[in-house]
Amino acid sequence: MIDTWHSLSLLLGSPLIQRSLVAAFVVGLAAPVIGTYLVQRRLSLLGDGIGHVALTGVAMGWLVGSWTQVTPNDALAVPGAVVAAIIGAVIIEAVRARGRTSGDVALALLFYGGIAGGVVIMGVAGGTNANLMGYLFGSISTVTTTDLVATVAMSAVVLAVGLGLRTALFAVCQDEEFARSTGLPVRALSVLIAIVAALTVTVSMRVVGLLLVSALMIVPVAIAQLVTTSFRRTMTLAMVIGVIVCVTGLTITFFHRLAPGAMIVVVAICLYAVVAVLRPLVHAPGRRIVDPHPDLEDDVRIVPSGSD
Amino acid sequence: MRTRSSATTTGRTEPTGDVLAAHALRVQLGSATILRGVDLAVSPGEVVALLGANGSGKSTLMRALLGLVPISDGDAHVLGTSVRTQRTRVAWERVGYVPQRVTATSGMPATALEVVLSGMLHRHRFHPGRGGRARALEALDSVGLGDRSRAGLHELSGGQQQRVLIARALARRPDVLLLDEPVSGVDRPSQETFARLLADLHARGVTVLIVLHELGLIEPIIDRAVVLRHGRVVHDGALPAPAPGHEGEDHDHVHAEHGEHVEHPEKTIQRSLP
Repeated sequence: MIDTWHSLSLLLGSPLIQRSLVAAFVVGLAAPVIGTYLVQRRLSLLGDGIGHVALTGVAMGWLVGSWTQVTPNDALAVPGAVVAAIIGAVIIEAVRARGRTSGDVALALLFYGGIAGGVVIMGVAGGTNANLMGYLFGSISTVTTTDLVATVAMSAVVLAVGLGLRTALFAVCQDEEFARSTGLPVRALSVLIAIVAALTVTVSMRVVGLLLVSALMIVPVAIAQLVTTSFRRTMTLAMVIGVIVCVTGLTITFFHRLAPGAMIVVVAICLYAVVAVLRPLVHAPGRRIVDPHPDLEDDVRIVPSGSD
Repeated sequence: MRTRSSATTTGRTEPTGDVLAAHALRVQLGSATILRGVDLAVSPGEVVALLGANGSGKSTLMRALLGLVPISDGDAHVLGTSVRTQRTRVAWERVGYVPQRVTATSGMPATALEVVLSGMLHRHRFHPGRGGRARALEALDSVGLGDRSRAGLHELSGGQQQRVLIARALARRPDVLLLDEPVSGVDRPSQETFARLLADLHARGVTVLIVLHELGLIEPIIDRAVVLRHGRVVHDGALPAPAPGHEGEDHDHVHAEHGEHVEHPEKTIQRSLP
């Protein structure tokens, strides 16, 4: 145990480790905020779709970088991911708002086109399989100071929008039709959610990778939901859980040679399982028994005589 | 409905002109024409019931008035502003809408209070603001759920959830209230609370358009009925008599009690498909 603490304090002295921990903390805090709105809208897999599209953006960044001879050669990867993720998110939002069933197929084409296109373009741009794996499954151990600044800045935007406009975004995600009847600019707010989701995907890419970003947005919310009844508390708790699983998962990989992104998601899923198992034990006595049947007065109605 | 205490003040701020109006309104969704040539005018302070069979276009008319479905031809006006051409300029902060919902829940937990607070927003207000909480609690109180403000939606019955949605519209302190089947499938206490609430709002001069399947306890409050059939207005005036086969001696349907409450002796069981 003392050995562990000793090696941990040594680790914490390393700037590389410090940067990765700060990145994990910030992303763990920000990702569940936007995840809360996506779960509320029943769009849990939106982040996954944006992540697929963002890979094409990363590869495009590499391609443009190789043409323009920028150094390092991945300097344009994150800007490319931001642009592609935003475009993808806005397209997904437009398809969702139209609510056509044919949109489902359109989204499938977009998602798989995004992954396949990304892999192919990456090859053209001279990226290696190792580079590709870094984007798909995270590369938190190589966070530079520039990366960290970008991560913190984008997370700050996500937090500012997600927390600052909470009631308005709640209204839009809770009951979109009602929100439109109130005069709220629902379309603009929906696009804002999509853009902020795209930013979240891009910042999370570094920590858990594009294939797992959705997990970081959704799983903490799913855990928080198990034990809360209010929206506000669910969001706050999800942020706390996000930080805990990111920092814990990352710390584990300091001692064992495991992929940090995947470890973080595994820790989150395990936490979900533990809370789901423990919840009935904790909550059972105080829980109100809810009648699942709706009160339908006129289903069968006993009527009097002499009515007109 | 400016203040809760002064029940005598009226919400009639439009002495001239109709609060809600439709002129030769046509709504087409895909290849189906849902509404055609619908004319409707609701004066300030009126309580108008929108009746008709399922699929006659009642809900669509209400949603067209709110600009929630595209208008193909004709026009609709809310508080004197065209919904078709100037939707963003309508004074939506004065309009309360209670949509028809099977459940008020979404993918996230939320308390009754949080849902009601979301009803206080409009184009220029993205936060409930100071005093918003008190107003939301007041609205919950008026639907008889003052003690359940912290309850999660999923803990409430269907009728209680419906009342939360009514409170969400009331928290805006609207001058116009549009309700889409607010009492369908709710329990008796919820219906009674709603009837009292509607009488109260009517007394304060709030204009009400209400889609109904059955009149029930609120019949005495209704000034006028508009009946839709196949997307057209077939009646506009006094409450119509029930259709043949629904007016029998033993058929309660909607005319069971005219204000006076009678204990129902068990006699006939009537089935009505929802």
